[in-house]
Amino acid sequence: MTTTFEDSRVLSVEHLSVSFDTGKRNTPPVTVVRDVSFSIGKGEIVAIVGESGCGKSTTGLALLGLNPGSNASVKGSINLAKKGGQTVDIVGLRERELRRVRGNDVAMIFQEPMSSLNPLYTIGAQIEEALSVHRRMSSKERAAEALRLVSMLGIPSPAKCLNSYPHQLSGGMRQRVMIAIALSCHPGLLIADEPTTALDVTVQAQIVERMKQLQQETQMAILFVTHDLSLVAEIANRALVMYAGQIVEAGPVSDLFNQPLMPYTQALMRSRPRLGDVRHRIKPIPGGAPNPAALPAGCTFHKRCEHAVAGRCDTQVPSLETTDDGLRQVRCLRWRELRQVPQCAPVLQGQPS
Amino acid sequence: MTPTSTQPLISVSHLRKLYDIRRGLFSKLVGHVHAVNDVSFDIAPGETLGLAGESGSGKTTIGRSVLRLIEPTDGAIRFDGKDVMALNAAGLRDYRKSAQIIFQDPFASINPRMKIRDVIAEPLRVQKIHATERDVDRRVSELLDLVSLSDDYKDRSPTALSGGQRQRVVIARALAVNPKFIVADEPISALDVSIQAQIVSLLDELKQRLGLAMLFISHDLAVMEYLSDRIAVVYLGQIMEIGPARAITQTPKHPYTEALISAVPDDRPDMRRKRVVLQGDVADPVSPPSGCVFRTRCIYAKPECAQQRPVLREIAPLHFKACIRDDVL
Amino acid sequence: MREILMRPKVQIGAFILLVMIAISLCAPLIAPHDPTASSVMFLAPPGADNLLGTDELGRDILSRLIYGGQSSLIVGIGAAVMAAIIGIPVGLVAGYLGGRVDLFATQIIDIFIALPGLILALIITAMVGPTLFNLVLVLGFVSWPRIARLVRGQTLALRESVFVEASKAVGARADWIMLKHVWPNTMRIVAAQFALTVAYSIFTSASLSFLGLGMPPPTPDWGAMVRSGFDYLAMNPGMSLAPGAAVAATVFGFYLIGTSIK
Repeated sequence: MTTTFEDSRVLSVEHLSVSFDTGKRNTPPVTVVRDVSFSIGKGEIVAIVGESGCGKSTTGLALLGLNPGSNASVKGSINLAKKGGQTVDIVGLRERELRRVRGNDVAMIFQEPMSSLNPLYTIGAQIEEALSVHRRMSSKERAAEALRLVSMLGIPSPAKCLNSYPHQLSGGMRQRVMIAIALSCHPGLLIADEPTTALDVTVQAQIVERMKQLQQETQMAILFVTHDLSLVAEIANRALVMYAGQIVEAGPVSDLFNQPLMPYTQALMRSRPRLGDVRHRIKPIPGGAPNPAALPAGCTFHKRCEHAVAGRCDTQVPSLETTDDGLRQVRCLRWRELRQVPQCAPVLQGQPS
Repeated sequence: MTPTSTQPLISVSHLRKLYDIRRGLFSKLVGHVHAVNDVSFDIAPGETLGLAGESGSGKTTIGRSVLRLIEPTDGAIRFDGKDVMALNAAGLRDYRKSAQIIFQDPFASINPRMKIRDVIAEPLRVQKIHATERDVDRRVSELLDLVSLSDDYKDRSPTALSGGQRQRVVIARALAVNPKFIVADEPISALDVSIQAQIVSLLDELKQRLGLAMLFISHDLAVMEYLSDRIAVVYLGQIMEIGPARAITQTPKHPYTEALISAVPDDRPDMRRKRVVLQGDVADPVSPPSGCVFRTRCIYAKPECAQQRPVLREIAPLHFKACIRDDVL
Repeated sequence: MREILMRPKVQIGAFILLVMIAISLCAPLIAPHDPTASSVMFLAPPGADNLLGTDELGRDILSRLIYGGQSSLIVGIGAAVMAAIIGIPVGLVAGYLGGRVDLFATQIIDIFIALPGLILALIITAMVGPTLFNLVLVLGFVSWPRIARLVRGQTLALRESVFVEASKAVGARADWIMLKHVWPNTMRIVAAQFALTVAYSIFTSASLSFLGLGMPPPTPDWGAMVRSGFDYLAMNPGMSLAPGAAVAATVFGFYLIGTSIK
């Protein structure tokens, strides 16, 4: 079924759920992503932020049909805009069609570039291989294009890099090579799953700057999956906060950081030290992330939430509500009443009454 | 060297660690990796010194060398007035009662086959600190309480614990012998973000309560500024700058520190520093650049920088930098 | 531990072994005849009185089969125990201390592993004479290097682990570390190799006795039974096949356990 997006959307995810079979008899499958819906427009950078186990990586993988193994079951729809203008639903696509889409219309880079690069082939060979899958070029054109891509990513001595093997390069260079490979076929959407987590902070800064530049030039949309809130603020236009498999808050990044509406987002912000924040005593979130196989009743965050009200938050399940201006979404039973109390700057020490 | 007002607890001078590189059939010595290249610093009792740097800076090697878990090639280490380098096996065992370490990976640093009780009790048993098993058990309960774990953790197996819980066990083990000094080698890097906050708070509370001196090694500058009194910035085995924590992060005086601080992402647009993007990658520790090792990536480099290695000189009270230029920062 | 016992391979192997061991232990109770009693009814085909027939000296094959397990099991398990007693400490010390001690030990281990075990056992047994005690010693002597190599490999790997470094950081000595950290993490692999060593030793002792260097007559011995049955295969194949099957089953049982303990 082919349709097109009326507006300039690149991706539209509706009611995505991913569950895994545990393999044990008599236990129901574990749902890791629950009813997630969002969209990404052309040229937009959207971040999914959350801790490990919240389902952000699984969501990213689902967008490429990469969920591991036969024990994953994916429901909902993932509508991706292809180059011709038509959309295709990733959910339910056969492997052969998925291969046509991957790399061409949507590409992905991972946290650990070493595992995505074949140690037996030179960098040049691997880039050219990626090019040959989706584009029609002579081998001379491919070599030239590989050189161009690698230079574009700011790699010093690009020709030498093309002749090197993955283990000869540093982590930052390898990640840049990964980005070059991902960009080689000009996909409309790039999914970056914690691409800089394993890198030094100066290398991270280099790569983030370069990604922002490239994005400006190519108007490619980026879905950036990370646990680093500050990175989100630097790179993204919009952010989705995930907790226990669901989106719990979403909105433009500047609004989100100025006035987080969901207590989890607020707690997350208050729990990290920030450079130069002299007065701020960090307040860690008590407890740990919930086990997706045994979620608490009511709001999944209520056990760790300082605003939880007995009788409400532990029994009622909050739904994702939209703010009046239509720009933001919150999943909290009490967000409207909590919003009245000014707690915009997460730096405040006192408890709101 | 950096003098402090009271007698320092630890005094490290001209610490060096070289690793041999051997090639060929006969393992010929062809060069050295300068992992730690003439590093000196002091830590006062109860003070936390942060060691900031990226991969390959040598900060982990420095931490382990101070405890002689790695044998330094050269240099002097004094702890509480004693010469650590001259200690024999018995003296070294005694040193380990006063100086302990917390490792980065909570999954690797606990023997998966031991019960938690035995993991925490190990230092007590090895050092023969308590006479009876009952005393040992009582101390283990005390320690579990100190790190906010309930007493029933004693009989659990490490495989049943989460990363954050294991790291608490690791901290409890380190504190078992009542040390005066702890080397914390990236204690939170392997943990999940909200758990990191819990462990940072725990470390903060414990070091104040117990008056511990700490060498806090990390690549996370925000956490380092939060926990440290002073910070030393390390690059390619050398200290580039050392001074009070706030001064280092707010008004860095060395080009590398400036680049490092500016690279940290921040969600407050007004607080973001102008980003200094360094060129290229870290220089080769086998043949470091002549003169100032940072000059190959420094945006303020001059020809004079290649001539001599800059000495750490005092530019403000207790604030030192290794750079010949005074006109840029 | 419990999890290991749940595995089907382990259960089958353990079942086979328990049956074999039970039969051997209860031999005096179940064997219909005296295994060493010869009679004039030699080479009788299987019948009501002798379920498997009699051998060339008129002895009941079934009874000899039942009793035969005893020496095989004693030799097999005894040899493995000896191999463990020598191999484990050598492996631990060589692996942990490294340096010249390790170099020396590795050379010896490698030489032994390079020599074919059966030939070596054959030569030594021929020199010292085959008795139960000698067989245990010889086979243990032939098998210890493999255990040592395994233990050494594990020790080398564990030596570099972080929790061993953590133990050193609290002041632990080498013997403490070996006992409390290295050994407990090596036990399981050693147990697997132990089972395999028993399997190998039983098979090798059966081979030795097939070649004439096993337990001296009249002690019933599976390998020797196979040998003597060779000449009469046409008349009573069971004479060779039954003891052969017994050896195979026992070896298989230990093999199953050994390969699934990992």
